[in-house]
Amino acid sequence: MLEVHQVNAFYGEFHALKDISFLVEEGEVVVFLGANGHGKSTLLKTICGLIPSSTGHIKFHGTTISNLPMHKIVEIGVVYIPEEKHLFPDLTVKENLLLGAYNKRARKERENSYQFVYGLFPRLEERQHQIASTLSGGERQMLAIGRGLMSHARLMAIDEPSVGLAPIVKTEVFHKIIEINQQQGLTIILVEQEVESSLAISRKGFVMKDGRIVLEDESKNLTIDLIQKQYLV
Amino acid sequence: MHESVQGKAVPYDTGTMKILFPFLNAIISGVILGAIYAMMSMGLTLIYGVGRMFNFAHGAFIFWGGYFTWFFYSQSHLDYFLSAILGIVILFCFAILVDKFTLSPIRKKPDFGITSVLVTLGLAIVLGNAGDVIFGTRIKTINKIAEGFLRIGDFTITYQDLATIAISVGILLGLEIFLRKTTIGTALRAISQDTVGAQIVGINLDRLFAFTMGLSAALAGISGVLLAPKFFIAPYVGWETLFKAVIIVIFGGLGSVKGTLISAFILGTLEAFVSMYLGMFWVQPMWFILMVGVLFVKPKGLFGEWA
Repeated sequence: MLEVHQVNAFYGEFHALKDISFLVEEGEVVVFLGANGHGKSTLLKTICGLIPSSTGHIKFHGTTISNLPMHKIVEIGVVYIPEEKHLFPDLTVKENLLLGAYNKRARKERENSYQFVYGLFPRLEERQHQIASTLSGGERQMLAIGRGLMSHARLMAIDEPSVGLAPIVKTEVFHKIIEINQQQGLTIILVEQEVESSLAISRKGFVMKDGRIVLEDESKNLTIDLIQKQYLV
Repeated sequence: MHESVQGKAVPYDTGTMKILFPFLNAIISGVILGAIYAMMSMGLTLIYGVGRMFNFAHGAFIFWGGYFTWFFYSQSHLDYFLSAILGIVILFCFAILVDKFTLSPIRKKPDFGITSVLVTLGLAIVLGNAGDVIFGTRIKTINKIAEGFLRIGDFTITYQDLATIAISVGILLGLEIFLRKTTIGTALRAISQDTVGAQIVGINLDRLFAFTMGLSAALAGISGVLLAPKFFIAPYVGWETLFKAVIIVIFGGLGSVKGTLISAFILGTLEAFVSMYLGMFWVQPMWFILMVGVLFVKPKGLFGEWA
């Protein structure tokens, strides 16, 4: 469903992505691993339209989405959940979710989407009238994922959902990601530092170094030793 | 004995009333001014809140609102309200075009802060001179919305002032409901809180920036119509109102709707008192002193989140 072909991207002068190519099939979870600053987040931002790609193309269900404006990409069905969350701090939980369903496709399904998100994260329903800045770290991550789900996307790109969370909350977040993938059939691209857990929930794994994909295989063939020894110095 | 020289019973102490009467009158005119000032500066606040820029053409939009009404009403003899609405709609559309062709292309560039000042300042000058060229330099006046006045005891208030308050309060209330209760209004608040977040959820920023510009110009136009009977219509009025609106907005806190509202009423009341006890000449210096004073204590203004 997603085809990334020979993509290059720059941060000013810095060559952040070098000839990236890979495929993601409908309904699968893939994970990008690697140390910080090696292009994983840049890759997600480029797919979702936050950073332009200079060469190469990105296709989603046959439609070229590279360098489309971001609101068009969301409308086509790709949603990005950034590591920094970018929630709206002074809006309530419910208003944050409401805006998640801003695109035309999602607006019609809004009431059902609330039900689904509240079913998945009952905490958000309890706190629906609180403003987002009063939430805990774990709740913020849930809201970020919930807001993404409201968009009725078919592909969700999640950037380090477990960062900064307590171990028990991390496990919960990973469980929710599996649940979303299995219940909704949502395709998921994950960027993570938690090698073991993310390999456990994904089908394919990619390792990035210096803006290139240096290793790719089925997750079951990738072991933590192999990755850590060679790439996560 | 509580009897006056003429032998009529006086129900209150005249000594106290002599002090109280002008005081209450000043409060009433303060509220009227506050209502006008709130309308006048709300557009500026919206643009700053959503788009993080100062619109120096805001004053020009205000007096163009007056010009249009003058033109359609006094010159073309259309209905008063139709003239005002026509002018406001034209301003709304014009501002959207301005955004599309002048501001939108430079918005993503790194030095938008300074380039937006140049563009809107230039626009203000062009609009001011266009007013001179098209309508002539003579000062224009528009009739009042309503003639006559209401008398309650010793107090009188003109129907014009009552209408001004009613229209301002009605429109500001409508604006508040729009920002709180509608999806678009919520999206505007979202943009002001996190622009990247707004992009992530799929909000078309360009479209809403343009809409905000239109909305702000429409609010400016309405305040122009309300101001016209009080201050006349002439190009220099644009700069004067812009100056006042800028002080109101900074005093209340940049981008804060609540701050603008409260600061408009505080400064309106201050103006009424200063002009009653010290004279009109002292109004602007006093505003300025109060603003500087507040900025000393609260550098971001009364309710500001951005410095």
